[in-house]
Amino acid sequence: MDALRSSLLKIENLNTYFKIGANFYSAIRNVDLNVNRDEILAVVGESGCGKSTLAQTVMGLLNPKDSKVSGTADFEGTDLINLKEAELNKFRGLKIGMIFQDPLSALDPLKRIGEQVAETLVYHTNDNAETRKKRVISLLDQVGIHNPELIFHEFPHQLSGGMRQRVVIAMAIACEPDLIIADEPTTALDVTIQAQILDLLKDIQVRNHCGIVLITHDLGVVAETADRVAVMYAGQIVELGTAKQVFNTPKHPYTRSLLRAMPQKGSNGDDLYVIQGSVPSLVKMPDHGDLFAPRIPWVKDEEHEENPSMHEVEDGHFVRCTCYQNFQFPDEGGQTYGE
Amino acid sequence: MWKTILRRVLIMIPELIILSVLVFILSKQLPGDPFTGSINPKSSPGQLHHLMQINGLYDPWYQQYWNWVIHLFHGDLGNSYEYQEPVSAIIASRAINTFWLSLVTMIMTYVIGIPLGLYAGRHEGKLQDTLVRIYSYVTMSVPFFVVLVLGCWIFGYDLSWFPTTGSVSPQASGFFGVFISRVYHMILPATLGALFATSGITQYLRSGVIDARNSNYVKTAQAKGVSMDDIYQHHILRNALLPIAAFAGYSITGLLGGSLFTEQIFSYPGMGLLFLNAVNFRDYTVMTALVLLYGLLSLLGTLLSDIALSVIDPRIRVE
Amino acid sequence: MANEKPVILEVKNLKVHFPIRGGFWNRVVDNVKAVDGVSLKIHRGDTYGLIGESGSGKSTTGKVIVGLQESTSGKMFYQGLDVTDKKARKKINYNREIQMIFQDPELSLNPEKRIYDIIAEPLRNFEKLSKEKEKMRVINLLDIVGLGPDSLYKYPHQFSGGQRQRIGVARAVATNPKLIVADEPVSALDLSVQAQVLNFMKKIQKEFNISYLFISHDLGVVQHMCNHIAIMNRGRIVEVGTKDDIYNHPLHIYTKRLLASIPEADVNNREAHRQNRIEVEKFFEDNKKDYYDENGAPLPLIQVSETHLAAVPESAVRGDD
Repeated sequence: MDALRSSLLKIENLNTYFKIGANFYSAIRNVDLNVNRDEILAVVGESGCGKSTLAQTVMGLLNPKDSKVSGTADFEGTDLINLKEAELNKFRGLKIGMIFQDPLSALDPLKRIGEQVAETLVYHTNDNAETRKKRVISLLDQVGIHNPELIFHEFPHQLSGGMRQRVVIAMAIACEPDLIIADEPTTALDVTIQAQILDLLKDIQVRNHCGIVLITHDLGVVAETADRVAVMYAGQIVELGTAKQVFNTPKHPYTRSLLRAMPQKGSNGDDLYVIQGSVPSLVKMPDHGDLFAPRIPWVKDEEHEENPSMHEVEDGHFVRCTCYQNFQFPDEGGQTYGE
Repeated sequence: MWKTILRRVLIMIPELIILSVLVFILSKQLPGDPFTGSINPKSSPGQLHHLMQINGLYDPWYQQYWNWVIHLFHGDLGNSYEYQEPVSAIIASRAINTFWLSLVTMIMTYVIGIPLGLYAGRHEGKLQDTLVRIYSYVTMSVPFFVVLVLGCWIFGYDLSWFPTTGSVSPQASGFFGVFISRVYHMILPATLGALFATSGITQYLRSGVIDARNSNYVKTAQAKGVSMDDIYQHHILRNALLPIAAFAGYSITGLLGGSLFTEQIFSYPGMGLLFLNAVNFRDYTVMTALVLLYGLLSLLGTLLSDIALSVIDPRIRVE
Repeated sequence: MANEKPVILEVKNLKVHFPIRGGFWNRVVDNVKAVDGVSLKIHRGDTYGLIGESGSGKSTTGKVIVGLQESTSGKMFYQGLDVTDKKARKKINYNREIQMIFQDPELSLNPEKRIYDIIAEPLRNFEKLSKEKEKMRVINLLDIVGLGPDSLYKYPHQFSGGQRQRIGVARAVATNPKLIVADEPVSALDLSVQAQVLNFMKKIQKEFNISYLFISHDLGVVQHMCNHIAIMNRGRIVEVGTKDDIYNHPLHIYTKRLLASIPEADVNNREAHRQNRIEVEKFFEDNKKDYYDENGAPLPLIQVSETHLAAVPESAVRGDD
């Protein structure tokens, strides 16, 4: 099935560095990732793992004053990295749409909803004001807003959180982009609304034959919606595969730890698994070795690679570092060495 | 919208009453009486007593307050002790000068302050920004009267570019000539006043621009493919100007305060100079009237600010 | 199965109404019924889960219990004593025995104070300890939440989110409280950190026999933590019962809808889950009018079993279950 899907975005060896004080520190490292048409690819990880930075790097939203990027992000033949603003704007909004986490702050408080949705059309179509208005109203209708003519004239603060997120989605899909990047699109919403928004995204993906990159920290959301999953830790992708591969046969110790730490359905209240230690800050991140090694101290040094690379364990399922091969949690017989 | 404005105006009524009572009490506390200036050595205490009686000065305070308010409404603020003219006439002739000077100062402030603030905000951290910040720190830290005195000395006396006294040259004639002469007299004091006032606006606007640029709606607009120039024009500018517009009404108080210094140093015949002279000559009727007027204008300023804000910011347009 | 543990806190018919002002004269034209007749009983050593979406009134209920919000009407009993009145609370040291853990550790810890002072603050308010004893207690409390004595003189920003929330927990347990109101204690935290904090909360519960009122929108976490659960919707409790009652035999359409909306980490049954959610959603829309009165307020609760109450029409009980 994967072969049928055509590749939309091909990210290769992407690195992003942030300037802190006088030095640059790497926030995402050597990311290789393919996004195809007709799929939802989830990028999952905890705060600070670089998943949002990845999205902003591809969209060219980072402030060039305090960041540096290397590598390529090939979108249908054009490398988006280091593209000039004017060139980039031929893609943003038209071919690639973006949905942000907090729908309130993502909308200009002083402009009417209709005007903000229309803005995407102003820059990418030759429609006159009247056609634009019609299209905006139809877009608002498409994202499940029942009284679009009314909402057209409202201001963002007059809408509920779920409605605002629908407006933000309407802006992103206005030009029927080939790729939608959704950065934590449901984190600020209640669960019942979350379910509706995820269904909407899925519908749009099917209807427009586009690819969606869904960035989230919520494993439940991933399991419910994603076709493929990339798990990120400390700026690297540590596991990549189909949703079934990653959830049914997780390989990387980090993925397995996360799934263990999650309160499961039918939990009897036993202690949850706690990942030892914490993610080092950007400044203190080592520049080689397995970055997850300090969090599984019982695994012997020789199990890790010097410079961990991705290994294909089955068709389309990749894991970083060799340490996954013999990995066991302490209660499964994994032993503590050293200390 | 109109309801909000009307309600806001109605709220002013109790404020006005409190203001008038305070000013009335103040005026009663001051020594002397309205006839202090009009008695001559031949007047007898009996005559004075009679005058006080027919003018109701022995009435209970609320009766007096009521009469005072009625007079106020008729524009009758009493006679100046010093000039022996109706206070309202004196103030009217001075107020027009102050009004023009303040207006020009305000326009100059925005003409200088807004571009500087926008420019500094857009080029945050660069040389341009540093220069603007140095400028605003300097104007902020030097006391106002020092700026005025220095300006007056350098550009008025030393270089003789501008006149340093009065509001119009006595030689000026014809509508156009008088107009030119008036503007010429205002340029130096207004510019100096504006220089002082810009630092606040520049800093406010600069941080407003920086805040707006880092906001998520700017990221959204970028993601829509809007160019940065257009984002500045359509999103950042309006959001950053919001606090400045709201501040415009309040700045009336600042302008009036500033006019005390400016008019004194440039001997500019406005309300500020009148007030200082009234204090010097213990011209209590003029003082009282001016305090009342200053209070009224300040209230009006806040009213304007509130209305302006509710017009610009949809979040405040509450039903 | 009735709960034999003694009741520590009982809330009866609690209402919190916020006035809406409007019209020309800005008069009170209506009330937002944030909490509109909530009754609940928390047992000693139990964790009582209060679930709801934003605006359901769950946080307001918690705030009334710790005294951060005035109630409009209703009664509160602490260990059988009426503590509705503020004066009554003072007499029995209520404020010391009931503490709160906040959602955002970043906002609830004063950034300018050292950890020592943050944790010692409730001690200073309620207990007069000597300097030495106070320090011992603080070190002991830090130890309980897994932080070493080297944390004493650090500031909140020097800790990670999870550590800060543990400091919040340490502060809350400083005065040996009997009940802790935890308002979304882990929703700002990452999964791995959330596990730590939840484990600590369980541990101190066992050690000190603390009761929790656990306020959350996360049904997974609530299921993990709580024995008794109440579902709040539009200011009222629409369903209350044991964990089994709520998760396995939900009766109210809102509870069903909420349960169906939680994303599950079960990729193999994704389609079935989605189908179920769509059906439940449709059932909710179709039957809404039977479960809410003409003002949109949930119906009164009716007893379904010894432990289970639901705000459902009589017909629903006989028909279902």
